[in-house]
Amino acid sequence: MTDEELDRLLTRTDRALLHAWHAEFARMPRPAPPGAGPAEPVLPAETVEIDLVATGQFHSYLVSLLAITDLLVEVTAHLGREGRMVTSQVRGHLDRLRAGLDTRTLRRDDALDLIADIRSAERRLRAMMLWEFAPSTCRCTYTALDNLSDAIANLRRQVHALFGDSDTRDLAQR
Amino acid sequence: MLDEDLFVACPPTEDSEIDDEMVEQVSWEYLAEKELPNIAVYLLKIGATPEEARDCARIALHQSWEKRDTIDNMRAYLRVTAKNIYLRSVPKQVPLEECDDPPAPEHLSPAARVEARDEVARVMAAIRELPLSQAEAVALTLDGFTTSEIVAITGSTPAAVRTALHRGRAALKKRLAPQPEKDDA
Repeated sequence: MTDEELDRLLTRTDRALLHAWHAEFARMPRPAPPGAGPAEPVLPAETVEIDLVATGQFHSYLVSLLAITDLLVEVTAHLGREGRMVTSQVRGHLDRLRAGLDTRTLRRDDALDLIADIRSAERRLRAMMLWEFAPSTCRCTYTALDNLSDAIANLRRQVHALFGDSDTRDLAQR
Repeated sequence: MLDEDLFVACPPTEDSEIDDEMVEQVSWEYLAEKELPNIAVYLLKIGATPEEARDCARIALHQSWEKRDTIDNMRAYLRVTAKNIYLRSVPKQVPLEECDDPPAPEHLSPAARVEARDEVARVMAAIRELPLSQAEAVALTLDGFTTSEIVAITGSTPAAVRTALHRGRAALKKRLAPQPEKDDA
């Protein structure tokens, strides 16, 4: 038996076992972290309302969208295939956001849902980083993650300000 | 890259505390989802029964999580903890090879299950027949750890890890080589 044959055999066995054990653990009650209560993660309520006219930031969402796109590249540089999969989903959301906002065809709730999904993806990327790389060994990526988080927060505020309490009809009239 | 001036109209919110909690929750879920099966498979390779592998993996996850702020390499720490829990729970006089068979891939499709079951059992039996140091070296290498990480996990030396890996692989090649069919004629 050659090294390559052995490697293939071991890899195949590993894959089959991991598949079985993923299913095994998936069937079991999901373990809770020690000391954790039954807290359901809840997105923080919007606390900031910005008057669009007063700020003059009508198109500032484009800046945030571009910043998020750039930062995703930085963050996922070390995260391999899983990171790229998350990034790919986020890019889809960003494209939909931009197209919808540019053409005024995206409803407020849909826009905020997309941003919530982007925020969720950012947290997943942060979680991947936390377990794959210590902050001391990958400081640049952690800084990029922080900037990504800020950019998403800004995007959310900008979109919120863009819509205010209006619906898409109001937005189109601006 | 981010120009602060661009966001001058966007004062920061005060949701950082909630964000941290959510990050913790997501981190835990990610760790549990990704690492529990890997730890279980690692323990199986060094001789644990499926029940021991499952229980030790979960205990190791909890113990490691409580020390997460002080751990640099969580994946390595998890395996060290899991191994220690397992070895403490196994009576020394029980040879590893007497442990039960590893779980067959029961959750695969029927066709894949039939095809994979014998092979998995044969490979796992061969790995578990190896001395512990060799089984560990083979298992951790398959798990993606580098030699220096394996040294840290096993408390061995680089030379000993390399030797164990080499001998383990040589033994596996011998044991897993296809048997020539006997000519009955």
